[in-house]
Parts: sequence; C-alpha cells; structure tokens
Amino acid sequence: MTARWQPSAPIENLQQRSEILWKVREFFRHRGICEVQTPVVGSHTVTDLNIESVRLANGNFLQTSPEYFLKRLLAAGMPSCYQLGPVFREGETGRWHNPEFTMLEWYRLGFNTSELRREVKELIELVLGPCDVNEYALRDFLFYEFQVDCYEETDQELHKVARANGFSADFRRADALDFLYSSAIENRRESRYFVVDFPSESCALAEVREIDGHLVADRFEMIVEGLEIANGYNELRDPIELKNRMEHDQRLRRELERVHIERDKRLLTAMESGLPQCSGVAVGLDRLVALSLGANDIQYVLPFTQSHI
Amino acid sequence: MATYSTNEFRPGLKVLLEGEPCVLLEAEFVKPGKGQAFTRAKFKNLVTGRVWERTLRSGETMEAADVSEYEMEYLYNDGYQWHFMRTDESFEQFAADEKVVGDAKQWITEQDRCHVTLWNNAPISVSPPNFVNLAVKETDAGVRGDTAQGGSKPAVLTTGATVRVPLFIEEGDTLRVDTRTGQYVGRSKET
Repeated sequence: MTARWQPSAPIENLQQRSEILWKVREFFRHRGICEVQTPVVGSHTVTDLNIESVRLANGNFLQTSPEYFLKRLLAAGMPSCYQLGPVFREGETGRWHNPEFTMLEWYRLGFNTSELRREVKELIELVLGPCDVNEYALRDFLFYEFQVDCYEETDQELHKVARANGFSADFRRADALDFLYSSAIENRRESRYFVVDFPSESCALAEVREIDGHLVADRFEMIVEGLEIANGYNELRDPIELKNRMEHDQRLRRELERVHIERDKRLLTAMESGLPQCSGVAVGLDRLVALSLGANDIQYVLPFTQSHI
Repeated sequence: MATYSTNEFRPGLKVLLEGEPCVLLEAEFVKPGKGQAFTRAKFKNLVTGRVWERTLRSGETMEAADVSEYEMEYLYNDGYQWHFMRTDESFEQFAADEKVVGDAKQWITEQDRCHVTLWNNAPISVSPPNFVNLAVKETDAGVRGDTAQGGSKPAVLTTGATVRVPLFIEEGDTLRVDTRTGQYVGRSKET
C-alpha cells in the first residue's frame, strides 16, 4: 500500500498522459480549431435529471461540462472551438468515475453528426491506433442484445426483460432502458463502435427528428472497450424548444424530489440571438488515457482522485 | 429495521435480497452518460452459497440482514441434528439440520471448533476448521513399488469422507486433511 500523501497514479503514467495531451492539442491546432478556457464556476448549471452539480456556498455551481459557456461563445461569433479541462459531477465515484474529471469538448460549425463522428474516430485513432468502427442505431443495438424494441415494447414487457437481467430497482421506463443500454455495452465484445439515434426522452440538447414514425435524437455515443468515451449531438438551436426541455427537467426534478435548478437565462438569450448550425461532442479524456495505457481504473491516470485529495 | 443505501455499500455487508440473507461481495458504480446512475453489485446468498448479480438504482436502500458468525464447538449429533455451543462463555447452544451443516458433516468430529453463521438467531451455515485430523477407517493395503509412479489410493475416514492418500497410508493412521479442498496434507503427529 502506498502512503496517503502519494499520488493515485504512477509518475510514468502521468508523463504519458502529458504526451497524449500534447497530441490532442496538436490535432486541433492542425485543424485550426481554437482552444478556449471558460469558467469552471458558473452562476447556473444544467437542469438534466441525471446530472447533479456541485453547489458552492455562494450559490454558484462547478460546471458539469463547458457546454453552456461554449454555446454562448458560438452565438457571439466564435468559430469552431474546443475546451480541455476539469468538470465536476456530484457523487460520481467509481472505477471509471471521479467527481472531478477531464473533459475534452468541441464544437464544429456546419458539421452534421456523421462528419463529427468521422473526426471523433480520427482523434481516438490518434491516441489508441487505428481500428474499424461500426455504427448501430440504439433501437437495433438493444434489440440485438435483449430482443426488445425500445419504442414499441410495453412497460410490462420491458420491466420483465430488465428484471431477468438483474435489474432490481422499481420500474421507471427511462431507467429500465438506461439499465439495458449499459448492460448491452458491457456484454458487447466489440472494440470500438458508435451508437446513434437515441430515443427523444434522452435527447438532452440534441436536435430531434422523426424516423419511422418515432421521435429520435440526433445524438451519438462512442464506446471503446466497453466504456463510453464520447457523447455528441447535432446541437439544438431553437430557444423555445430548449426552454421547454428545461421546464420538463424541472418538472421531473420536482416529482422525484430532486434539487430545483434554475434555467440559465443567459444561455436562453444567447440562443435567441442565434446559435449557428453546429455539432458538438464531449470526450472523457481520463478514460481515453487509461485505455491508451491499459489501466483498468481512472485513478491510475489522475494524479489525485477523490480518495487522495 | 436498519437499511443500507447503495453509497454505503462495501464488501462484507450483510443484506436481505429477495428475503434471503446475502453478503455483498463487490459493488461498482455505473452511469450511462446522460442516464440514471446504477450500482451493479454481486451478492453471495449465505444459505445456498450462490452468487447473485443485481443492479440497483444509485441511492436505493436494502434492508440489513441480522447475520452474525460465531465460533462454536461441535457437541454431538442426535441422529437428526448437529448440536453446537458458543465458545465465548455464553454456553448458548444451537441445533442445525443436515441441510445447514452440508459438506461440513463429513469433516467434523466432536469438540471441533467450527464457524457457525446465524440469521435471525438460527444457524444457516457451518464451516468446519480448515484443517482436521481424522483416522483412516478403510483403505486397501498399499502395494510397495507402486510409490515410484507417485500412485495414490482412496481412503475412507471415520467421518465417512473419502480422500486420496499416498500408498503407504494404512488403516488406523491419523491424517491431516484440508477441508476446503478435501485434500490429504500429511500424517498427523497427534494420535
């Protein structure tokens, strides 16, 4: 056992991490994408039901992602840009989670999600080496693994399948789908792939469109060695729709007795003034470094994790 | 009744799962990017020994199981039940049936110190000492010369257990046996 003052990661890993950070910054520099550093403390935060923010004593929040600030920059005329830095999520501790972690988030003006996926693939290959990457619609992905249709299945049937696979929480449709999704990722033996087209309930800030009579979010995730590495959207631009989604989150939060989160009015006004068409993606950098070094816990690539601070 | 929330989960915790006492073996925090956080946990059923995997929503609670383990001396078998007594001066006695004693019954002899697990104050499992000394009741006479091939033969012990022993072992010898593997360890110095 190492002494309490010592880092959680071996020094060699931190040196290799530094090399990867250089490569990543090079990648964006070559493409002429501007690095920005937005505040880690903001007066507002996301209303998202499943993301809890760290609230400071003065009422401000540690940012869970640079998304709101970056979108305000884009609305103000900033071209394609990225941020590489710390973000914070209350209570997320585990082998692949730390309450403070490193997020690489970038926005591409004029890109659709398939163009952005190509860029994500290239970035991942830069760090992990080349590899084929398939794409699966979430609907097919879940059907393949569990023979359920995430749109058509009755609550009852969905609950039965989730239970049969070890889900022991009381039933909420969205949670059962989340559970099946994370189990499917765990079971799948495929090195790298994209999951695309999520049900509109989990659209977050992605544009929604109709596919086969269902509302589908233009959102994707990249899975590498069973880990979620990237999450991207064709960014929602309609400020009224954004406000509706925020209100919907707030209602759900009230029903489930979660903390109330105010809507970020500055983001809403920025959207009213006009967000250019763009796609954006966030990459879990610590996980990516861990995969590159063959570490099986992000504590081996972060100098000091929660239990070491 | 005491409960544990998933964020208090740590290996060794005793909880009730589907009404049965279980020990938590491991727990992992799982969270899909924009989704609900889960705790994926492995439990060992303390009655059947089977391992169960379950996924709970993070923040959910489980009822604590009133499970405790004591060192007890094996007293006697009355033909139906095996009787044990706590070794901590309480002299409290417990009776366990065949299902509870399980494999331990082929290793234990009177006065052996066992570990008995209680749930709601009734025995649910019995672990024999890791090593026991038992006499050989029956074994074929070894054929000398076969030892060169590293041969072994079965021997039936006084408790009814059968173990593989070297050819030189004779009836009446006292053996030392590892109850976890059921393997012969050596001849016992004690008689």
